[in-house]
Amino acid sequence: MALLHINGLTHYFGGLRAVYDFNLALEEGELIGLIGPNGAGKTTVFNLITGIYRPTKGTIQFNGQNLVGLQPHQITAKGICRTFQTIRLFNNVSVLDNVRIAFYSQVRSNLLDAFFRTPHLVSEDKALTREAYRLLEIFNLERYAQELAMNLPYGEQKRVEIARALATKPRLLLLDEPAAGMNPGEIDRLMDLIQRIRQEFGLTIFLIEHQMRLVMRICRYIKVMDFGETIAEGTPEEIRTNPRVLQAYLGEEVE
Amino acid sequence: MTYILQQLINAVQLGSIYALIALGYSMVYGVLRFINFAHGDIFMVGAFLSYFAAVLIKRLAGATAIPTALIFVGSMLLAMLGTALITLSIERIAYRPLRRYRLSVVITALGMGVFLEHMTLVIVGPWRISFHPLITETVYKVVGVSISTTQLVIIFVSILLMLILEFIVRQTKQGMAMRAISYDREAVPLMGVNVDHIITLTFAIASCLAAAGGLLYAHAYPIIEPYMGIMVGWKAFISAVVGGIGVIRGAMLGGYILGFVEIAAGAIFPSRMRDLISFVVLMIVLLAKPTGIFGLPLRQKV
Repeated sequence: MALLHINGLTHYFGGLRAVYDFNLALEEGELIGLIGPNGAGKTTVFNLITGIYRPTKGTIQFNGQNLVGLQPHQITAKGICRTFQTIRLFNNVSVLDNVRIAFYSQVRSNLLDAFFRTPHLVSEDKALTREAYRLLEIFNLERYAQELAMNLPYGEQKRVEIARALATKPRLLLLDEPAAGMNPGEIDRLMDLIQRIRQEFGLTIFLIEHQMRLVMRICRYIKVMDFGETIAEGTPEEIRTNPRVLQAYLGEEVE
Repeated sequence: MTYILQQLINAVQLGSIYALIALGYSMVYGVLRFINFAHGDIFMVGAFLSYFAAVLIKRLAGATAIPTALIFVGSMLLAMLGTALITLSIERIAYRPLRRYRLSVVITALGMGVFLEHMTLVIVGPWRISFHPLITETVYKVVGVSISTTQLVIIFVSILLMLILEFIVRQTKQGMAMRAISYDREAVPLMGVNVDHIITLTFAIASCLAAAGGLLYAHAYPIIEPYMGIMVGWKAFISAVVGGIGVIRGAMLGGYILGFVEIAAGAIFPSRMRDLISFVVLMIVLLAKPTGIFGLPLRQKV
């Protein structure tokens, strides 16, 4: 049984067909890529999985449980988390608090505990702060812990976003263009990082990317979308030589 | 000099009450980008519920004498509970279903305000009720300035409530979620936060502060009537905007600024010009800083 099972996923925005008959069986521990030209419907697929949109048609099952109709916070609680194409950090709070907020559903202490600073709250608070620092260390961000998120350089902000996503303890991580805006050196480091967290946290990863170099190197299986439809899927080698993919990316030949 | 000090105390007293109410506008705006125009009337309901709670407590106590301080605290807590229940029902019935329709929900808020005014009118009648103070009044003279127990209690209780609020917002996970929602509402649920819970909590806190404001206001100006929330509500709303709406400290500062401006205007000019002058001053502040004193410039979407 696949960890994430998507069947016949279709979504319309009014009359616009954003995603049509998208299928996916993602096994535990896999890392697969989703590519396609701008406006192909890739981010919409992520928004459907995470419950931001409700699909017009089709089913999404995670770990054998239906996700369609659940609220985003319930889906996060089941173990799916994501990052965003454009950075969506909480700029008005510190980097540490950005990570700590993602522990929200794991916090057991309530408001009364907070008022009376019960031992339970204090120990939980300490444990979570330690955990947050550990995550920041993995991403080499611990020196920014007290800094406001908005004051960090772009590449660091992207890493904070991944650290924050990991704090929700996901089994499946959805990365939306993690390498966007990075230079080749940064992309290399990002690839190592993705591989490392995948092993360390036992993650399954589904990523959208424009940087072919990243997708081709780290994904063993790739799906290609264009105008909402899946036009190809296979290994990087198969994708590289697929005429429909080339056509979608390079434009149609004029006869 | 004594006169100025005296007026300063009056300004702090009035400003504290405006600040308490302004916080409610600001917090709800922070999480929902929505102005709860019924909030002034929630304040009015808070004043009436405090009145009835005090009557109820006194009647239950019967012949046993209980300290007025206890009646004061008891009525405040009961009024908070009552207004919170009313506000949460309003949120559930009138705001939540319309949350995505930003203009309609503002209209419903105005409608809920009118509804509360007239429900009160129907229940208590069109009379102005004099509020029997729950504070034993003593006037202290400090270097020629007189300050009453009522003024001290109003200032102390307001500041205490604001400190509790600061604590919730800064030190609890719910507070952290509130701050995050005010920054990016779509991303917060993906962190596993149930946004509806946070919105409910925000409305509950806002209405508790308004209820306390109602009780305190009724001690400063001991006449309560169903329309008392309209003008006070507008003024608190303006305080919130002047301080920078959505920013908690902004609402506090805005409340005190309005308190000072109003008392100063009343002290310098004929009292019938008080509202005119204070609103003009606030307009000037807004023209100079359209997002309010602590308000951030609009975020650019990249």
